Amino acid sequence: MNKIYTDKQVFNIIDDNKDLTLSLNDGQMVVINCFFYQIKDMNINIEQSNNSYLVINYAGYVHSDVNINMDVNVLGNGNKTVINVRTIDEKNHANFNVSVQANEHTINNEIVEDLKAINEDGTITFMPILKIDTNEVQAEHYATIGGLDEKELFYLESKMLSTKTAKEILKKSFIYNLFSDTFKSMLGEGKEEDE
Amino acid sequence: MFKIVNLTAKVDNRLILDNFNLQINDGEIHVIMGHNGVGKSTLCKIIMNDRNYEVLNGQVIFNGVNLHELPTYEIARQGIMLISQNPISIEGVTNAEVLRTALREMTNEKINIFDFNKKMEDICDQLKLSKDFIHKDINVGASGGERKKIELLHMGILEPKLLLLDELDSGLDVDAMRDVANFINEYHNKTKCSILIITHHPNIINYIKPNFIHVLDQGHIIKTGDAHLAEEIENHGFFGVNAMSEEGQDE
Ligand SMILES: Nc1ncnc2c1ncn2[C@@H]1O[C@H](COP(=O)(O)OP(=O)(O)OP(=O)(O)O)[C@@H](O)[C@H]1O
Ligand SMILES: [Mg+2]
Repeated sequence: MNKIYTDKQVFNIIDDNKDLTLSLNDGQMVVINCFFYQIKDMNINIEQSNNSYLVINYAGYVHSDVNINMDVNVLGNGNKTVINVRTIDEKNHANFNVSVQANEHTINNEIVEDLKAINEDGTITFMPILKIDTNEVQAEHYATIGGLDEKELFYLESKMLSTKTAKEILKKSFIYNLFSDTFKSMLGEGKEEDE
Repeated sequence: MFKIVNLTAKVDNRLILDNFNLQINDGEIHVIMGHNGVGKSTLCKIIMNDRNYEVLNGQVIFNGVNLHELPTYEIARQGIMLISQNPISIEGVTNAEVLRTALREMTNEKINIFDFNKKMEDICDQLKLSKDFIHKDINVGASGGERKKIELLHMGILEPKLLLLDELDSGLDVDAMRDVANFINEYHNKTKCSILIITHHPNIINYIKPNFIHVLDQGHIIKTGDAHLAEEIENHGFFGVNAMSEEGQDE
């Protein structure tokens, strides 16, 4: 069932790690797109009350030790919460605490946490936390950490792309796949360098 | 000239190629046939230096260069292109992006986007492939036959000197087979490239005329003949053909 949200707000954040604190209005939809060429410490705190829809798409490259905390508090009923994380750990350690809490006596809430990382030369810890004090909630969470796909690398190399370029292309697609075309265009996707 | 000398290779600790030899002179078209699981696709992947396969002995040489010492992309840049039996799809990476990047990296020059797009569109017309695929993700949402055509679009842009076609005919309907064969024949006439065709069906040989047909068994070529060999295999099976060759040796 696709609800139409007349009250919709989109935040597009590029390389800005200022803490973000928000309370969604009843019936409001909020999409937060975050992209970092280099991920830095950041805290995101969000409250949802009733019938709201929150989407967080967070992606970027890890180069230094960082802590990312996302905390979503679902206070009322009929909310939807979707948190997607795509990161590539090129070096050092990244720690993601992604917590969604649904309070006692709330009903009809839906929560999805989908956290994926490609680990190149660092370490990543995903802590997907679902604090759920009610049975009346539908919750799923996934956390996967892997490497680049060998078959895809072989394929691209067999089309003359150097290993370095093939890896860059696959990493970029892993991250960019998360975002809408609008946000991708803000990141320079589709920019033709040739003339 | 492309030459494989005494190639012995393992996969998953099992010997697949055992003293395999093959020579393809410039411009020649060769066909390899053989039972399922005999090692035809393995041979193709070893030529491209897929690291999943362990070469124990032997050499793969193309125009005097020993390929086994090169990474896959260097082998591709030497002019060898493999069209796999089951081309994979890659989400988030478009055909145009890969081809443009490959050309730019190879030549170290800017690509004239207008000419590049025009060339891709012309190739799509020749192959009767929807032009929409040019700017779509690699093989995503493409049927088996469309994937083969998309791979041939890559071939038309990257212009290899040796083409490895691993069961190109699987997944192609009769009309598509004819269009694809016309495209390859035209490319072959124009560039005098060499071609290695892997197939189970003599039909492709009616369209693309080979100089030699080889039968692969027990890790190496056990029989070589002309185009008639494919018909013999079709009629008598690999075992029948092998038995006939052994009778011949007795005489
Ligand atoms: N990456 C791999 N890991 C393990 N075993 C493999 C791998 N690749 C191939 N093999 C095995 O090696 C043997 C040869 O496989 P190959 O794909 O080369 O056969 P083929 O001659 O191409 O067969 P077909 O006609 O069915 O395509 C098979 O037994 C297969 O199971
Ligand atoms: Mg095969």
